[in-house]
Amino acid sequence: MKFNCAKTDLLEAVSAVQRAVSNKNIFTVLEGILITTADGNIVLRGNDMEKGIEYTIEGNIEENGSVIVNSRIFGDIARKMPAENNITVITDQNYNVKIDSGSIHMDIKGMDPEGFPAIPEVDKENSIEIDQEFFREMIRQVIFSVGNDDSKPIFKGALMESKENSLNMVSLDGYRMSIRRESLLGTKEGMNVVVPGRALSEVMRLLKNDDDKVNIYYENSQILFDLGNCKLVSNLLQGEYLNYRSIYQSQKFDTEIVIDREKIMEGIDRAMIVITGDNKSPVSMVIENDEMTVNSKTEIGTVTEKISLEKTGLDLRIAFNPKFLLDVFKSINDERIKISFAGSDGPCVIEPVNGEEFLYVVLPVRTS
Amino acid sequence: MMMNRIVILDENTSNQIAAGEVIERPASIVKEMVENSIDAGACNISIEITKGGISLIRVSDDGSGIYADDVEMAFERHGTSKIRKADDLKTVATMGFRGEALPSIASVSRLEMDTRTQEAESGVKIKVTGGDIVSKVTSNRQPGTTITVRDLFYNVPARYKFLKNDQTETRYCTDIVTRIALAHPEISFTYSANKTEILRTPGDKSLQSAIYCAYGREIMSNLFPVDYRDSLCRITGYTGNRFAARGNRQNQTILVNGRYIKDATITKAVEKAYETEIMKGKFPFYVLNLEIDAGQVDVNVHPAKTEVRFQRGNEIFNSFYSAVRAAIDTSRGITPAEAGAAKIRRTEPAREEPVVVKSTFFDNETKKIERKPMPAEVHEALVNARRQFYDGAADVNSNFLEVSEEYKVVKETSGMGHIRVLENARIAGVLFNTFILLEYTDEEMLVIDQHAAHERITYEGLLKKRKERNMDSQKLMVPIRVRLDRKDAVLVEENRSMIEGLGFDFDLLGPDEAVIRALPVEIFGENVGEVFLGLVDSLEGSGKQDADIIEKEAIYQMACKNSVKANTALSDIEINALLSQLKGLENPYTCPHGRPVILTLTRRGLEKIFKRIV
Ligand SMILES: Nc1ncnc2c1ncn2[C@@H]1O[C@H](COP(=O)(O)OP(=O)(O)OP(=O)(O)O)[C@@H](O)[C@H]1O
Ligand SMILES: [Mg+2]
Repeated sequence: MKFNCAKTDLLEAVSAVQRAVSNKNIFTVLEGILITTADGNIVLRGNDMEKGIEYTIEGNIEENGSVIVNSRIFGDIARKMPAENNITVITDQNYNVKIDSGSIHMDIKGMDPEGFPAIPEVDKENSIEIDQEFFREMIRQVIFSVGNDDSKPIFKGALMESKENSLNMVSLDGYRMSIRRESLLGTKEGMNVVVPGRALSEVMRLLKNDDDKVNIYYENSQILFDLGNCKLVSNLLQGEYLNYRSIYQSQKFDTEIVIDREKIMEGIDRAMIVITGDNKSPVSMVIENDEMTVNSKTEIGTVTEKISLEKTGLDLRIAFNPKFLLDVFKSINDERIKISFAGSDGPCVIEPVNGEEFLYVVLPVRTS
Repeated sequence: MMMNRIVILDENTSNQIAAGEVIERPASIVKEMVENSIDAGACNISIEITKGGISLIRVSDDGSGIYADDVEMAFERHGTSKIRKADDLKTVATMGFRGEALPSIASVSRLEMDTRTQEAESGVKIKVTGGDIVSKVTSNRQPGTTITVRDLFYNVPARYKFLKNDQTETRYCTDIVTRIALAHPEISFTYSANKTEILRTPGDKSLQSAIYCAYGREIMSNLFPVDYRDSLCRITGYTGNRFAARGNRQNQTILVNGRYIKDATITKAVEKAYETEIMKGKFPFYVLNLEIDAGQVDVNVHPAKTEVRFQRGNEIFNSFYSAVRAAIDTSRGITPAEAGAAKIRRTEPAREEPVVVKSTFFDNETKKIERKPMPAEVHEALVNARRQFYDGAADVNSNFLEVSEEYKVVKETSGMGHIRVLENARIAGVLFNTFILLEYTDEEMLVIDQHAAHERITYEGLLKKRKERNMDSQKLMVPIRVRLDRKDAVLVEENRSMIEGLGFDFDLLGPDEAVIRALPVEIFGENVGEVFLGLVDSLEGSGKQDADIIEKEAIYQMACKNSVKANTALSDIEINALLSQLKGLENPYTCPHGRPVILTLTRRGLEKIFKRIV
C-alpha cells in the first residue's frame, strides 16, 4: 500500500476513529486502527466491539492495500508531524510501515489486517434523516441523565423513538429523566431502539454545527449514524424500555411555578458552595406566595437566597439533589421555565414555558 | 427457717431442669421433634409453627410410629428405643439417643401425640400437660406420628420471659429446618409459619435440589461441587465462589454423618482454604457433609447435640482444607470468574423492565477475546501484604498498647495527644498509596492507614447525622427489586423502622423479595441492591444485640461503601484535609471494627530495628 494525504486530514481521521479503539488491553488488533485504500479513498477504522467508527479521507493513492497500526503510536505520529507537509504512508508484505513527511522519516511495525473484526453492515431499509445541528442538540439535552448502573443495563442507553411526526429521545438514570422531542415532518413511524450512551456521546462529538444531514439507519441489533465522510455503527441495547410517560402523566400537580432559569440556576449553584467533597446534602426550597427560598446547610455553613416567581396552587417545601437541578438548567436555553410539583414527595416536572420540545422529571429527596 | 435437707427432686422438676439444657426456645423443640421423625425413618415430614412456635409447633411424619404400649415410655426420662447400653453410644447412628427430648418438651408445654405403627389397627392419641399424662384414647391416624406442642413455657414464666419476639423465634425455627433439610435431601420437608409456606424440598436425594429450595436460583450458578475422600473420611457437598460469599457465617452448613453441627475447626479449615479467594470480611457459602466412622466422633458432648468431638481433630482440619482447596482449584479450570456477575447477583431490575442485555454485536469475533487476568503471584502478593498488615495490627490491638518496643498502636487511652497536634506533623510521604507517614516530633513518627481513617470519618459523620434526624432519602424513579432469603425478609420487616430511619424506603413484595423505593442520599452512586443486602447481612450478623448496636453496624456498612478505597493516591492537600477531619473525631484511633487507624514508631524503635542500640 502506498498513499499520500494532508496531515490535517489524517489527524482528523485518526482522532475520530481512536474514539472507537479499545484501551482495555484485551486483544492487540483491537488496539489498532485499520487503514485501507479503496476506490480512490483512504479509509480508517476503529472497532472496540461495542461500536465501530469509519472515517474516509481523500489523498493520492499509488498502490492499494491495507494494514493495522497501533492506535496510540500512529495517533502520536499524525499529531506531531508538521502541519504544512503532506504525509506519505508505505507498507510492505511484512506489514512494516514507513511514514514520511518532508525530511522526517519513521518506520513502525504494523499487523496483518486479516484479524481485524469487520464493522457490521446495517440494512438501509429503516432510516431517519435529520440536521446534524439539531441532532447534536437533542443528544446534548438528554445525554447527562443516561444511567450508569450495571444492574440496570437498559438505562445505560437512550431511547430513540419515532411517532406522530416527531423523533423522541429519552434518558433516565433512576432518579430523573429527560425527554427531547423534535418534530420531523414525514418521519417514518415505529423506530424504537435504545442506543448506548457511550455511542451517543461519540456521535455528538462527531456531529458538526451546520445544516449537513445525518442519516440514521437501524435494524434489530445495530444502528448506523452516517455523517457522510464518517460513519459510526453501534450495537443496540436489548430489552424493553420503561413506559416512561407513566411516570409523570398520571400525577396530580398541586403547585406550579414560572421562574427565571438563570436566577434559579445561579441560586442553586451558590447553594452548592457549602456542599463540598463527598458531602451529599440536599438543597431545600420553600415556595411561599411569589417567592422561593433556596437553602442549604452543612457543617461548613449555610446559604439562603430568595428568588421571585409566579405561582399557581399550593405553597410547598421540597428538597433536591442540587446536581440534578443544575444539570437540567444548564441543558436548556430558554429564559423562563415552568416547574410543576406533585407535593414534596412526588415527581417534579421541569419544562420551558414555550414549546413542547423538552421535558425533565426529577424525584425529590425526603428530609425530616 | 427451713432446714436445708437433701431430697431427690420429683420427676417433673428434674425434667424441667433437663429442659433447661435441651429446650432453649421453640427452635430447639422443632429440632428435637424433626430429628425424632428422621430416626423413625420418615420420608415426608411436615412442620408447622404459629407465633414463632411459642403458641404452636406441629410435626407430622410418616415414620414408624410408636407402639401403643410404649407411648407412655416415650415421656419417661431416658426412655429411648435407640440405644440399650452405654457402649452403643460409641457407634450411635441415630439423631437422638438420650431419651431426654420428649419428656423435657412435655414438662414445659401442653403436648399432644397421635401415633400409629404400620401393624397396629388404630392409632393412639395421648395428651400430656406440664409432664402429666391427662388422657389416652384411640385415634384413626394413618401410620406415622404427629406431635403438637402448644403454649411453650406456660408453666415456667422465668423461661418464657427470655423468648424473643415472634419474628425472631420464627427465624430461628426457619434456620434449623433449613439446615436439617439440607442434611437430609432424601426426605421431603414442608415447613410453614403462620400458615405461609416457607420451605418445601422434594426429597429426591439431591443436595442440589435442597440448596435450590433453601437459597433460590441465583446461588446455583455460583456453586461448585466438593467430593473428597481419604483414608479417614469422605467429604461431599457444595461450596460457593466469591460471589456467593456473605458478610457473616450464616450460610455455612456443616453436617457430620447427616447431623447439623457447629464446629470451629472445620469452619477454620474451610476459611483457610478460601484465604486468597474472597475478600476479608466475607465468608464463604457452603454445605458440606462429613462421612466418618461413628467411632471417630463423639456426639454426646452437649445436650443439644450441636457439637461433636473428633478423635483426630488435626486430620479433620487437613481433610476439609484439602477437600475445599481441591474443589476451588478444579472449578478454576472450568468456570472463569466473571467480573460483574457479583453486581447483579441478587439485584434485579424493577418489574417494569424485563431486561437482559446481550451483546449481539460481532458475535463470531468475540470468541477470540481472552481475558488476561492479573498474574496469580502478583495478586497473591498484594492480598498477603494487606492481610499481614491488618492481622498483625489486630493482634497487637488485642494485646492492648504495648506491642513491641518498636511500635505502638495509638489508642484513646494512651493519652498521647497525637491527634491534637496532627497539623504540626510533617507529611513525610505515602507508602503504597495506602499508608500516610508523618514525622511528628524529633523522636517519633506516625503511620496512618488512609482507608481506615476515611472509614472512621465517614462513619462518625453518618452517625452524627443519624443522631440528629432521619437520614435524607432520595426517591427512586424506577424502584429496585432485591431478592432476599426468606429469613432475611422477616428480619428486614422486623427492623423496618430502623432501616427507614437510615433513609431506605421499601416494601416486601413477597416472602423473598423486596422493592426499594428510596435510598439514603449517602450511598448515592453505589450499587443500591448491594448496600441493602450488606445491611441485611449486618442485621443477620448482629444477632441478639440491641437495636443501637445493630444500627451502628448498618451505618458502618454504609460508611465502608462510601470510603476511599485503599490504594487511591491522595495529594498533600487531600492528606491535610483528612488529618484535620481525623482531629475532629470522637475516636480517631480505631476503625469501627476495631482495626487501628494510627501506629506510632519512635526514633528509638527504629534505631533498635537497625541495631544501632540494643
Ligand atoms: N416421631 C416419632 N416417631 C416414632 N417414634 C418416636 C417419634 N418421636 C419419638 N419417638 C420415640 O420416643 C422415644 C423418645 O424420644 P426422645 O426424643 O425423647 O428420645 P431419643 O430420640 O431417643 O433421644 P434424644 O433425647 O437424644 O432425642 C424415641 O426413642 C422413639 O422411640
Ligand atoms: Mg429425640
